[in-house]
Amino acid sequence: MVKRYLRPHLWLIAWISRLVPSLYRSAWRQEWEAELLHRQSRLEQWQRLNLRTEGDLLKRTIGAVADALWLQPKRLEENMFQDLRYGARMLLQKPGFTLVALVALALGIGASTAIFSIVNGVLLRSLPYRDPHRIVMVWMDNHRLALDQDWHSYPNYVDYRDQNLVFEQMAAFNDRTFNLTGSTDPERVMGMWATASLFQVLGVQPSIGRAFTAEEEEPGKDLVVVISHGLWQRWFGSDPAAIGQQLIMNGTGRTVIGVMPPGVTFPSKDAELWVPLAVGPGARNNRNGFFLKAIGLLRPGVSIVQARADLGTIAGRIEQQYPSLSGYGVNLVPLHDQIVGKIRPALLVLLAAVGFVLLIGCANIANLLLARAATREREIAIRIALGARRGRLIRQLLTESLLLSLMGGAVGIGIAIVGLKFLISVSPPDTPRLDQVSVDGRVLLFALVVSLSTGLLFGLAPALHSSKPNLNESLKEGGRGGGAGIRGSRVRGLLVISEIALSLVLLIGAGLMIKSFQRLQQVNLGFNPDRLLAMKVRLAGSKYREGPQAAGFYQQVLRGIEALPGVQSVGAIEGRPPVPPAEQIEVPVDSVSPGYFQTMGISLMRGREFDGTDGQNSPQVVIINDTMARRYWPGEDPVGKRFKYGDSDGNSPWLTIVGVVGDMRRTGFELAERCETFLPISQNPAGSMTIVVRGASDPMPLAAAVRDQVRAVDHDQPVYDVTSMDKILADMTSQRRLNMLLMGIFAGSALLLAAVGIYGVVSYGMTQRTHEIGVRMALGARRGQVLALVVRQAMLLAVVGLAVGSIASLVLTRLMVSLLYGVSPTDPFTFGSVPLLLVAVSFLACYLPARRVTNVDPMKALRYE
Amino acid sequence: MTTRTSLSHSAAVILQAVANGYQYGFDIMDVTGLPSGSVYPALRRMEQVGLIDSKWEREGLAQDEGRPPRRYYEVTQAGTDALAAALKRYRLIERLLPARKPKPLRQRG
Repeated sequence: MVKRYLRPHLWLIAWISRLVPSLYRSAWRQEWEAELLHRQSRLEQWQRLNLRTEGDLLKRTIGAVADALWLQPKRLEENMFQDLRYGARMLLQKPGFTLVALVALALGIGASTAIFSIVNGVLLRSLPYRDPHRIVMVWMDNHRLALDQDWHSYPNYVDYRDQNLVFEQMAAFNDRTFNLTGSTDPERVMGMWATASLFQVLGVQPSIGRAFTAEEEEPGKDLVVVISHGLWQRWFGSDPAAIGQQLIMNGTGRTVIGVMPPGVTFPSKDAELWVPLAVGPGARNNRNGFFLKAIGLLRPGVSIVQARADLGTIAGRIEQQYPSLSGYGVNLVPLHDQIVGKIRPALLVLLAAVGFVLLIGCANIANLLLARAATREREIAIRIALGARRGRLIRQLLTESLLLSLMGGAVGIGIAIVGLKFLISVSPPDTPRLDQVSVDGRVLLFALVVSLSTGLLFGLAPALHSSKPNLNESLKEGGRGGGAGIRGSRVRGLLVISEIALSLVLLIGAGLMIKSFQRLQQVNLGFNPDRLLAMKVRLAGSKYREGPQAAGFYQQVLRGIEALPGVQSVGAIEGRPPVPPAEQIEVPVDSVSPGYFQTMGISLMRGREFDGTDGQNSPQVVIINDTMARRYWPGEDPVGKRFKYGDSDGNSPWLTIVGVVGDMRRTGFELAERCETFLPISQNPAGSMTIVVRGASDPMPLAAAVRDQVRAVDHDQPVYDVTSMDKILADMTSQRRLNMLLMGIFAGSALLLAAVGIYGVVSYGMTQRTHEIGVRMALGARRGQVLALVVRQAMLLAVVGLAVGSIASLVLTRLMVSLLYGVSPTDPFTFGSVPLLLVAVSFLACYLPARRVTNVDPMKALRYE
Repeated sequence: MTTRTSLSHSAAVILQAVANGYQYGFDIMDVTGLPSGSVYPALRRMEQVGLIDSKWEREGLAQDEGRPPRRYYEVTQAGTDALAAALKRYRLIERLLPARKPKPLRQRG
């Protein structure tokens, strides 16, 4: 009966139904056919079947295309579900493989994500200012001292500010610490003197009250302060009435005029106070008083290159105008680089390293998948024979590996969160922007992209490979998949080569860093850090305006400390930056107390230390270090010689050298020795001193007693930064130690993974070739010969990998120059020894599985299927 | 179902038609004047989000006419709610579509 109604629209529906996803096709076709037939029979019943109504039916039928197209997304869903179900089933069938792959992936993705979180927070997240990309630090480029980030004098700053064409705003500032006194215990707070324009450069405004103005930059009008949100909470209990109240800072009362919003900090997260920079008439015209840092906001569209050129012109003009200032250029550094520039190379190297480990892990999983693909060859061949298309098979195999990698990624994110907490806890506290590090959207996206791409990476080769089996061979009874085996072993060989090359790069990188660290530990500090306690005191307030009072204070404090039980000796040294300039010589000068050198364990090479006889009214004396003695009095005894700071006809006093001490590196391991001079505190009092105490045993328990001694002399002077010298030294190298540790962990994992990879490939190859080996041995090949054959083949891969890796290392280690100390990036020892280690490991990794198979009885091997 | 949010005008018209008893795809086209390329995708979408349900006609009935059973649609509770909400926005729809009485429930017999 249906035949009778066969009309063009039914043909059309049959055709269109092919578009519909198979799961829905029959129902879809039935619905349309039923409607069309029903309508047709009604029309016939009513004798209305004419050209117009038939045309209408046809039109409706054509509309079915839209219906079929609408159902297209279901096709994907349908296949995806099928693939997912199938993939999950396959993964569950081999729980061992799945677990191993999952753990490897989770660790790899977790470690990469953790490192990326740090890169994201420290390097990628923009600074919390309005136009962070336009803010530039302006430094003096001091060619004389080879310091490219030195400070400006006030008149120089004014020249740059007034003559430049590139900055919208320029500001000058200087970090200071302040003693807050008053209600409770005195507290030391980091802060800064700044011009009012600083707030415009940064684009920040107080959330309560106001910022200070340019009018307040004059001595006398400057007794105001803007405080941070944290200080407002701590000191004023978040009371809005804090505005207008007095804050006693360094003994001077200042009125609080504004509170910054939370999160606004500059230059570091510790800065909590901003005070107007009020420059006195002396400093205003002194081109030799270098005490200011400068910062500028570039005009929109001005590049840093243009700005460098413009400020360079001004620097040239200043040099011409004041020949005594020759050798002082200008150096511009984008603020972001300024803050994170030092740590960037380390982070990027670590990110690359962890990426390499992940790649090696991927290669291993790809190897496992390839091996497994061989066992599934028959299944896949059958599916192809039954009409499965290659694209469909690839998609299904990829779904399987993506499922694996996404699961690995999900676990990896958990690992990343834990790992990140650990990394932050072991990072040196002075790491910039560490507080910005968290697992945010970008980090999650990174983890997702990494998971997907690793899934593709380790899944694609096996999928492409195994979706194209040799049907004839695979379907044959007992077929060993010989043809595919050769292709497979080629892919596997490539994977092993890349694993070895990547691990070599990592191991060489780690080797160079370990060697740097060793070199650093061997540096002669020039002093003995054992049992040494250090702390800082900064005198503030009107009581110590006169020098002698300060000297008296320290004398009293040191005498008190020396009398404490458990104290072997005590001394103090001024803690302030190098003081410029003298005509040609740039030599820092520091005040020290009698007993300082003895306490530090610095050797006295000639003459004497300062003692009680070097009073205020006795002849001015100085102690120099060995480097200075050798440079200016080579072959002579400098004791008794005289020199003076400044011009020879200047009014600074002549100083008599009374002693020469050994060089010491108290500012850092990595700085070269430099000339140093020391004056007695009694003749050159300083407000800010570092006191060092050598204890008879562990000095930390002395800290409280020492602090009490300072309090006993003056209750208002806080003692801060109390630490042992061991801790200070450890902190100096902590960033390096952490980098080395992480690099070592990554390189170690790489080595392990590469070994596992070689082992896996060789032992898989062995099982594949058991039969062949059986034949060889049955025909008279000796065990040693077969073993040599197998090992030779595997070692060939290792050697190719090492060659590729060596070349890559030569290129890549150049990028880590800034992370190295005392080691060349192409250090021959490292480049010679690390490949040997890899050769040894590779040999073991292929010898062990090879030996196992050659031990097998040839008869068994021949029967092996 | 929380998908009452925004029914398009034509979806609301189709839903009203189903509610009024025009339960087959072609009947809906007749009464709304919409082309099949709009009506079917709209029906599929509404079925997917649960505003309508579809069922197949009894075999016997179809066999009498020598064709496969037809598919018919019914408004669910969620659909009724969504329609009520939509009618507040498109006030004319109610007056545009005639109610069909009696409802062709004979199929369920």
